[in-house]
Amino acid sequence: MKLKKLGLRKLGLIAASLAALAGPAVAQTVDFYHDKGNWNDAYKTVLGPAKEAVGIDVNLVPYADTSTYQAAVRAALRTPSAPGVFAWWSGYRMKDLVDAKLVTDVGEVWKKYTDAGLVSPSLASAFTFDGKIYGVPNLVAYWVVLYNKKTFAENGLEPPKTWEELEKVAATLKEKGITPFGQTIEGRWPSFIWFQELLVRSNPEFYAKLMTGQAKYTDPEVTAVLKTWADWIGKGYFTDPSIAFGTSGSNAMAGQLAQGKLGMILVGTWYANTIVQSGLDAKDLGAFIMPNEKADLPKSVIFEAGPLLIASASAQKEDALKLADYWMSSKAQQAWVDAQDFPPINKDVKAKSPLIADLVKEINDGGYTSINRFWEATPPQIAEAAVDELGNFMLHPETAPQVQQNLQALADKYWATQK
Amino acid sequence: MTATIDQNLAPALRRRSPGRPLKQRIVPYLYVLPAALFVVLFLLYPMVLTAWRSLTRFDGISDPVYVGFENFSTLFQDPYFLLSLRNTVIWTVAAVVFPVTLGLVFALAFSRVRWGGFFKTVIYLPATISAAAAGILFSFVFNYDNGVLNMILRAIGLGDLASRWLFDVPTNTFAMIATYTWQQTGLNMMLFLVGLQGLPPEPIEAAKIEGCTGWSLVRRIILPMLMPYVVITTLLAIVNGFKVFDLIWVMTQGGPGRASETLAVTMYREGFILFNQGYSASIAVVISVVALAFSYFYLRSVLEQEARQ
Repeated sequence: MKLKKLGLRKLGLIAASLAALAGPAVAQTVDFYHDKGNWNDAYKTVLGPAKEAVGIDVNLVPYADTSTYQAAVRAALRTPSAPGVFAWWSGYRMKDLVDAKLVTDVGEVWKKYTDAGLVSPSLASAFTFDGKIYGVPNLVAYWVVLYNKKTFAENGLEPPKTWEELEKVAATLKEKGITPFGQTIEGRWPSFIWFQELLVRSNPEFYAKLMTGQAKYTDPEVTAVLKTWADWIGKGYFTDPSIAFGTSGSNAMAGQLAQGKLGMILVGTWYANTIVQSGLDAKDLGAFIMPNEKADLPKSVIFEAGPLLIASASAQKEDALKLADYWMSSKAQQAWVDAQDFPPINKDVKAKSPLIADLVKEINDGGYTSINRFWEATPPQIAEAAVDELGNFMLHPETAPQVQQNLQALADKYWATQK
Repeated sequence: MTATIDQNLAPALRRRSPGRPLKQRIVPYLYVLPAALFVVLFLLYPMVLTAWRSLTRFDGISDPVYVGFENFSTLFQDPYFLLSLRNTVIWTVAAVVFPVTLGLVFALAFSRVRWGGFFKTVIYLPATISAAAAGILFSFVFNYDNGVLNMILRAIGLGDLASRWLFDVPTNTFAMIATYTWQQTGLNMMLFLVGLQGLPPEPIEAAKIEGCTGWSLVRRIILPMLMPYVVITTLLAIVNGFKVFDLIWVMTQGGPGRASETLAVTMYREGFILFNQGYSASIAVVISVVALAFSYFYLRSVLEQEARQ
């Protein structure tokens, strides 16, 4: 009995000492997986203060390779060691995770900010499935035409407002020995860029149907788009499709725009930084939304939304939800926008550069409809193979009919499994 | 020393003496246990798992669904797999013809010449870097706009020959094979040099006295004696050529489209980009079976040669 008493006393002492050592409040750790190696410092800047603000210590786990990253995350998602927070892709690219109930509903986090009028509920559309929201925005980018203002000024050009003006700009630049547009198949995925844009500019309704299997790649709308594209390739309006775009390190396309050898690049707004780093002064970089081919079409802009998701099975889930709330706050979003020059999603947050500020103002005031990018708007089983087919078309435009047949065969194969 | 250990250990392992204490009988097994565990965990288990996965439909998230041999029957009707198989055969043949032949030629040429050491070092150096690094390096050489090769062609007035080396089919496969040859030749040369140094000098001297020199000496005397090394190097080159991945992934990712994929690249794309992991596992099984077959012949040659020595 005496011994037992002694043991209990000892245990009590140890517990008291441990409590004293632990201090007043221990920060909880949340693992944050991502595949954006060059964003790691920005994440540190934004998430470092979360320790003081909400008591969460963020452990950043960057992956250098996207394929390895996807495989590692997918393998971990069913286990308690799944990351609290992880960066992912929206639309069809997160659908299988939602269907398998591997990610958490973050509707409550959104409600706080949408009810306060700080964030537009429409932004959640790319992360919404059956009325539930499963992600908070990591990256939001608009797909626009970035151009060299000096090149335009030297050749007496203005950003085009109509399709005819766009064609005139291209013809003028070509005449002056400047390649009008950049396009590439380097890294595979960039081959969808012009396809999606030409489709959206000619028939956005058809684009939406095509992405969800309600229209065919062999339809006349696609034939017309490929014809325009082939026509422009034939006129020498595009860079050679083998030009480096930065996916493997070197970046000749951005360099050529900075040097005035290339007039315009159709790309996400995140590419602005790359061009500035290639030597173009930020004040000489302009952006415009590509005009519609037909004047009576509604104004629209293609957007890309990358979410941060929370693993349902993760032992860190509750703390991850707190972190998501912090991430959406004005303070964190301002730090994120300042670090990355992304378009702000929170109305209290100011854009970093005039280029983004002007673009956001134009989109908000101009009544533009946001259209989800090809990469996320159609199932990856189609998108991944489609970029290879479109790449073949860019190298050999005369193969358009065969490319259309192959694309439709891919689509048929996938949609047949969904019935 | 080795003999002493063998003499002591071998009978101890063989002998089954129930009278000996359990601890003494267990100890030898404990020594090999870590290595055995390593083999089971990191080699056997993944092998068995891959074989099992090849019989399932699995996307990396949902539970695998058993489909029998469906993946294998699909494989041989899949045009991408058949294209990939054709490319792999081209790669395997090229991996033997170029790096092995050149390695042999350089070994013969530099084994007994002045400055031979310098040339051998120069040819061997690329083998010290990884295939991925070689791929990145040659991506710059073959770049269409500002690659060294096209720049030279344009500078000497042969601009018409400037090409999209990594984007035109089948030029890109040959460009990658050239890179592979640059990287692998040195290694093969070293294997042949080892072989040449081990040749007995008497038959060669005798042949020379009889007036056999030059190509005739190589063809009639040196090559027949070097044949075990030729076999080993060739089999090794076949296995390496069959599973080449990193260089292709870095230089073309199997593109444009899927035109330059080999089996290893197709396996990676199906497994880690399209997440058809069951299908990907079936390709892995095909690669393993073929590589195992060649490895068997390789090991048999090595062991036979060791037995002769």
